[in-house]
Amino acid sequence: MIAWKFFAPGAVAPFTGVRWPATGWMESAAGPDNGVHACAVEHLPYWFDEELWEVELDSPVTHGARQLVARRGRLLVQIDEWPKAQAEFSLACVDRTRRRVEEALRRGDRSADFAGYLADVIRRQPYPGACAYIAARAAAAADGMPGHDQERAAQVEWLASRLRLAHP
Amino acid sequence: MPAVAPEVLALAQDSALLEALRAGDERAFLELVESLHGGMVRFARGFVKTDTAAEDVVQDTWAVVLQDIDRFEGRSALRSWIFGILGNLARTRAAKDGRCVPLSALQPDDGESAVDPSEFHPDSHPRWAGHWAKAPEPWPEARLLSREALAYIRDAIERLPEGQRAVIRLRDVEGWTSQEVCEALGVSEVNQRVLLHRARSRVRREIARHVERRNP
Amino acid sequence: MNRALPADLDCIAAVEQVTDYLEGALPPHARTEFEQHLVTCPGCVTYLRQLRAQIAASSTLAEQRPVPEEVTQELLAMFRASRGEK
Repeated sequence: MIAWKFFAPGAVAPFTGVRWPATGWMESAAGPDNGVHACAVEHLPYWFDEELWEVELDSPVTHGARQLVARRGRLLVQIDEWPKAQAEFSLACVDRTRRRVEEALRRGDRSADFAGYLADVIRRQPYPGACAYIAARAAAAADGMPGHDQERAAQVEWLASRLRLAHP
Repeated sequence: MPAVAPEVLALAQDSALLEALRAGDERAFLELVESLHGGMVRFARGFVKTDTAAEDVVQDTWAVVLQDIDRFEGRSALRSWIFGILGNLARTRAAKDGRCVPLSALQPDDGESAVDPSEFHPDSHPRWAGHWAKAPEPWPEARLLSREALAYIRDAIERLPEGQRAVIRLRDVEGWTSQEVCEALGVSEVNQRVLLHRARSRVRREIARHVERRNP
Repeated sequence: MNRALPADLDCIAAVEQVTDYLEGALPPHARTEFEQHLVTCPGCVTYLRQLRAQIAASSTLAEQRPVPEEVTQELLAMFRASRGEK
């Protein structure tokens, strides 16, 4: 199954520190709690890091909490447009948040404190993970769970389109 | 990734060592003493009042070890067993010397938070209750290894409550595994982790204080 | 505080979990939540790095103290006596 994975520089898995081989399978350690982790497109905004790679996961693939898990995976191709695009991504989060803040203030149903989300997201550029999270929190504060989901979907759409990722 | 877990490897090495010791191999014994001595004195010093008392207790420990070595069944690692004896002797000596050393020192008490709550936004914050009010600044890692910084760390460890000090010494200074520490101190995995967590948090605060003082 | 989102970790909770995380003692779901929190929070990433640096620095404190000669001799005598008793 084709998926995507964020890595630390050098195709190093960000949390285990294990470098994935340039060719061949990356096998996970034995045991039910172990596996290689990767993203379907809709998981990407939860896992930002320096490098983005298209990867292949070997079956069976489990759909976990905002991630895909498999026994083994392998690198296919690096997405060159990342992290070049991360400043743009963060700016897009700022733009959507600005519109939400303006709309909420116009509606008059949110206090001035809500506008603080705009300052928060501006200040957190260019960290894409932080900006995505702040934008999602702001959307939730404005429009509840539907707002949150909409913002996260917009983030996914932005990434899929800008990075030309195949998106079902 | 090692093919064999470190604990299993250690026990295999232990059994060769035990055989040598029981056969009267003096070189094996002296190598064992050499490898453990510094750590034993440091460990004992965490319980007793003086360097001399620590050295006495270490000598007494070797006497007990030699007395009981034929009966040691190897169910725990050798050094865990040795440090277990050492800990008991050190605590007994400390009590005799008038240092009040309750066994409950190895039970973590409740409610100590890792970071001063004032470093986070309070519940009243409209957006970020529970998040960093001011995010920590990266420490220049070279600075941490300076003689001065290491002295702060050593100092901070020495001022920890006894249970926390014992655990962080064995884990982070001496590099023992958590299993070995639990065996030596007679604490559960969970308790050991809580003590380690508290100890590391307190030491971190000390380091942060000093690093931030230099870079206001 | 906004309740619209499923509970995600705040930093107060995250710093309390750091030791369990480093020990590999967090169950898989909690570990994922912790890691996702790190992605959103440069402050907690720094905190974790600080702890790792502290642990590395602590390990340099284990000086190999040479055993004083008289202690070696005493212990050797003890050893010989104990083996002689067999």
